[in-house]
Amino acid sequence: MEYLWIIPFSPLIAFVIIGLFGYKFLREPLSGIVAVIGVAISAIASIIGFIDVAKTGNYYNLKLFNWMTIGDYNIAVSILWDPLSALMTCVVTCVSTFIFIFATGYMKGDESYPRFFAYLSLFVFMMLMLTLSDNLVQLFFGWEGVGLASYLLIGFWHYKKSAANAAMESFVVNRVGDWLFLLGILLAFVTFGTLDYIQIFNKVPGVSVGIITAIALLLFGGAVGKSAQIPLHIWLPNAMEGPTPVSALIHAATMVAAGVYMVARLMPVFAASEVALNTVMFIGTMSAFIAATMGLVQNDIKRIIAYSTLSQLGYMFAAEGLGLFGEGMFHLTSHAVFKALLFLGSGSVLIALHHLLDIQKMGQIGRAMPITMGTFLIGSLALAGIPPFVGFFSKDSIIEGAFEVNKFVFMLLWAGAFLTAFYIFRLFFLTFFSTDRLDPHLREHLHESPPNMTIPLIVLASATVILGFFKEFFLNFLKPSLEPHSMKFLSEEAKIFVFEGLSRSHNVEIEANAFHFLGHSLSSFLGIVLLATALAGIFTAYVIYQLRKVDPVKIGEMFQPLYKLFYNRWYFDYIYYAIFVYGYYKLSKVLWFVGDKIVIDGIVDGSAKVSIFSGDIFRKTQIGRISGYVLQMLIGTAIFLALFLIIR
Amino acid sequence: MVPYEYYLVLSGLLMVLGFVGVIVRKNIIALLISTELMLNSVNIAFVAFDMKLNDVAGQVFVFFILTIAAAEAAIGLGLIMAIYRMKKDVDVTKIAELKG
Repeated sequence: MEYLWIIPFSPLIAFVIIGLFGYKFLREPLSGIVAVIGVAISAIASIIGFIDVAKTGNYYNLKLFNWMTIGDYNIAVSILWDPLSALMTCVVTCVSTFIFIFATGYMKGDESYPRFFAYLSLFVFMMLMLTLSDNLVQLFFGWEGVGLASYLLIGFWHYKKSAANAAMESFVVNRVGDWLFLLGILLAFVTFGTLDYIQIFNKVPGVSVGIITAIALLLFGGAVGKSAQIPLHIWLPNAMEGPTPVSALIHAATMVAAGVYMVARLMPVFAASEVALNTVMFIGTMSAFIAATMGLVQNDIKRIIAYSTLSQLGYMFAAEGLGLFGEGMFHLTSHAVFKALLFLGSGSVLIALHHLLDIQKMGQIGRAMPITMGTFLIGSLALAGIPPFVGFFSKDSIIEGAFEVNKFVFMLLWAGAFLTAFYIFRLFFLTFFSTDRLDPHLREHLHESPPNMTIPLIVLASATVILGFFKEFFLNFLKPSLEPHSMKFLSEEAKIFVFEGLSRSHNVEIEANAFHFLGHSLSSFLGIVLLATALAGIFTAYVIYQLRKVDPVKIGEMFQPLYKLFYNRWYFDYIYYAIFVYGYYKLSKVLWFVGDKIVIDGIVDGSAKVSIFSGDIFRKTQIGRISGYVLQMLIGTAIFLALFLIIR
Repeated sequence: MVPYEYYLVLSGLLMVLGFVGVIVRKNIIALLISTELMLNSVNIAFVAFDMKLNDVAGQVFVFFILTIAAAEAAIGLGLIMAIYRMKKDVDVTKIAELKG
């Protein structure tokens, strides 16, 4: 398995090549091609590794080289290649490959073309360091690295003030989470004396519940920041200021899923604490519901999809909190595919409409862009949870699992499913059908995107259609990483302990086989209700926005307070602005007045004032007459002579 | 033989006279003359101590001082000429450019 080192380092090499020679030698098409080749190589390598793991169910722990030594613990740059990391790595590299290809078309003509692909390659390298890590330090390295890449790419068009601000906001909000994450790592090191996952897992049973809970909650704090869960979600919608391929890759498919991946990776730690699992579950559920309500009333095409990302990440966390780690990871995989598809579809729309974002100003562009419209429809159906698309298999199993475990969580997730179907089809109808509200000038130039943009759309759409039928394969594949009794790297004691920790999900029975699950959905009451909910959401959107039977403005007026609450994003931004931005500003002002104005200026200005004052006095002695000076000299001499005599 | 204290008293008197001259006179030439007076008072003191200590070093100093006084008088008068040409005046109270 030695070839696995290629996976992270191939994008790094591409980054170095583009970074050094991008502007001078490679320029427009070549730097994109280098980046695509770099990530494609790692995609191929990871698929080969994936097949190996799928056949044997083994895990491989490679130490590439020693990074640093703390006491008698060596931190190595390493690769832990087990089903979980193999799945995540494959998702990252495969989705990246298609998004890179799409980006070669999307970024065409941008003057910073090489810089874009350099950053993207850097991002993929960092993300792979994160997924392949076998210890918390390397995970944290990748975690910060993707944060950096995200910052650079959100602010890619840094001359736009909104983009620069959004980049800064995402960086600062992520710092809050990362700070908690770092504290969690330190506490884990103090507690376990090691940071290697496998050693930690085997030591978990011997540590008190309180400390494990603290570690898990601190680490989860990092996940809340990175995966944009409530209350640290505010950066993600604003991150849509970046180029659309960035939104698709970083802010939908891969980086924001890092938190979900991390929780699944450290499943034994989270399973050891009831409180931690409950926190994960409720934060995820709240995010899933609240973000869906925010998505209902937005008008920016990318922001709607961003809120849907928040909401779907909430579903993943909810699944993990319910103890359904396999379902959570499967939803991550399916979400990565269909959300990348939706974002790339919106990117294709944006290119056709010259970066017009407001869906109220679009309409009836489906006929001019059939491929984009068709693939977008597939993505929307998957998000809404309509069979046979992958979203149905992944999302409905989470909601059904919630029904068995916790009714409150089930209610919110169920309501969220209706809202999801509604807002995505509101977007779909307003953009591609409905009435013609498009600027006639734009309509003249309306055209389908070039093949290097449509082919990734078609590939991802095909994946969205077929991936759901591999549900059983994925769940079985993940068992050696997420099913306590199949986890080869756990000791017997740890296996039993983790199994006990996941007791909440023991009576959950979800059909693993996709066809059985489909049959079950169509026959059982719960399954029919869920399907009907999704269809009702779509139908409501159809009635309001396509048939125009009901005026959406009137509905908005009818539920004025609710509409305002949703439109203003539950006032989260305002509250944060009031407390943190304005509070910080006030505090800075006080510190500026006390520290700068009084203390520092006091010292500096004070010394100057003393000089002026004393100078004014001594100036008087300079009378400008020789006789005066002579007299002064005489007096001085006399004083010194007198002193001389007296002291002697 | 006159005791050396007498010479010292004379020297002291001349010194004070020189100082007073420098302090009270306004004419710049008078200032120069007063300075000469002080130099000569020092000469007298040197010679007096020379006599008392039976050492010729004092007389050697006197010759040096005389020479330097001559040179100084020449430079001083030259400066006074320059000042006079510039200001048309030799009154030190009116030449007070360094007043603070």
